[in-house]
Amino acid sequence: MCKFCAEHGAGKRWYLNTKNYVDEMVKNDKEREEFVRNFAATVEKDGAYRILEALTPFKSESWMDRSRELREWYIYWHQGQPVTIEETKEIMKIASPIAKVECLCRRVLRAETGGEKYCLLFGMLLDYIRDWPDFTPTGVEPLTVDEAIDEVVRRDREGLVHTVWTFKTPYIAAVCQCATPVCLALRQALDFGYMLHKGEYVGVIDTAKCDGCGECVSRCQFGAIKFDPVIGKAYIDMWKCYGCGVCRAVCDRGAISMRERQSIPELKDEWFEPIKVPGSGRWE
Amino acid sequence: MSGLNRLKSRAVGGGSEMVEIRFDKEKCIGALRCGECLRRCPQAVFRSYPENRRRGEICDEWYLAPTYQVLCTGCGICIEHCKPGALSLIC
Ligand code: SF4
Ligand code: SF4
Ligand code: SF4
Ligand code: SF4
Repeated sequence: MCKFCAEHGAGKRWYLNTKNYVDEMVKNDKEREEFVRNFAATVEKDGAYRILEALTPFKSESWMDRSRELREWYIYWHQGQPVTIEETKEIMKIASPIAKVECLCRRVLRAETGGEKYCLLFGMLLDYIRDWPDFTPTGVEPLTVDEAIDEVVRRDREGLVHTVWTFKTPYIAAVCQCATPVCLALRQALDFGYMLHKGEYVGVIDTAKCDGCGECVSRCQFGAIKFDPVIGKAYIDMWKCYGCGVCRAVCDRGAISMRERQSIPELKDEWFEPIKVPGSGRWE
Repeated sequence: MSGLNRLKSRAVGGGSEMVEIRFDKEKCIGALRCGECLRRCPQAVFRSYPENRRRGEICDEWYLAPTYQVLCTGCGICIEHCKPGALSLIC
């Protein structure tokens, strides 16, 4: 069980605990209310500069400390974690109301303004977001539970990673559909080791079933799937796997399955990418 | 240009030397209107953000921050594609 499940799960996965979705959490907590209220107004600029500032003295000894601080900041305020499609469907039944909006990350990182709505937002965050048309340039599209489930299933087939997001942990108000490098969280996790917590599962390929078609290799947004040219089959680097499960959708042979991270002693405390100094070869 | 070539020659591996990207707000035609540098940078070094965003209104001023400049390899692609010349490299 990860720290989040232990503290906020009430015996379940923390993101399947209905308590973490109720509006009272916002109403009864001034600090959280302020964070949710200001999110759309300030997130892009604050993020761009908070991280630039943390990354600037990258040659100095303070790099590690600042990166650790930033990791803690995200854990406290705005933590993400990949969830499998099975669990994402469960979340759609718990969260309410649900609406989809354009993706903030694709806009700020790659200037994408195509009107494609990738992100699902829930609850009170929606009330606040409507005040900022600029944050949602093509509007807020409400979805029923069934529509939301269809939406996440479609995104799973497209190979996008589902991630849950907190707005002052453990309150959950969003599920995004992410890819590298257009998702801020995926790229920040892979390049710098913060913002995205690893998932509760790890993928495993059954080599007896795998026929070596290679479809899954480019599917993995985390670069965890490799091809072994000697045996002619794919395998998953479990240290790199985030447990999103999207690779399964392309495997006709049903060779990929998910295993509980907790059942693997070496990986049970592996929740973050190591913080590293770019180019220096130094790892935490 | 010699500075750029020097940068290119040591670009392998990425971001190992401190390269500073300078951004001239006055010259940029707007990150959402253009966005060439955002889309083209192989390292996704830039982030855009709105300035003076107001409740209930669409914001037209989107600028750039070289947020991930520690990953910049000095390849110069962003500079090549910025028509108004709003970007430059300092090394
Ligand atoms: S998609 Fe399935 S069968 Fe094809 S290489 Fe991957 S695991 Fe093997
Ligand atoms: S190998 Fe792991 S991280 Fe990659 S797609 Fe499969 S489950 Fe997701
Ligand atoms: S020179 Fe420009 S395009 Fe090349 S890595 Fe640096 S910021 Fe990106
Ligand atoms: S390419 Fe130049 S003009 Fe276009 S957004 Fe980037 S800095 Fe601005």
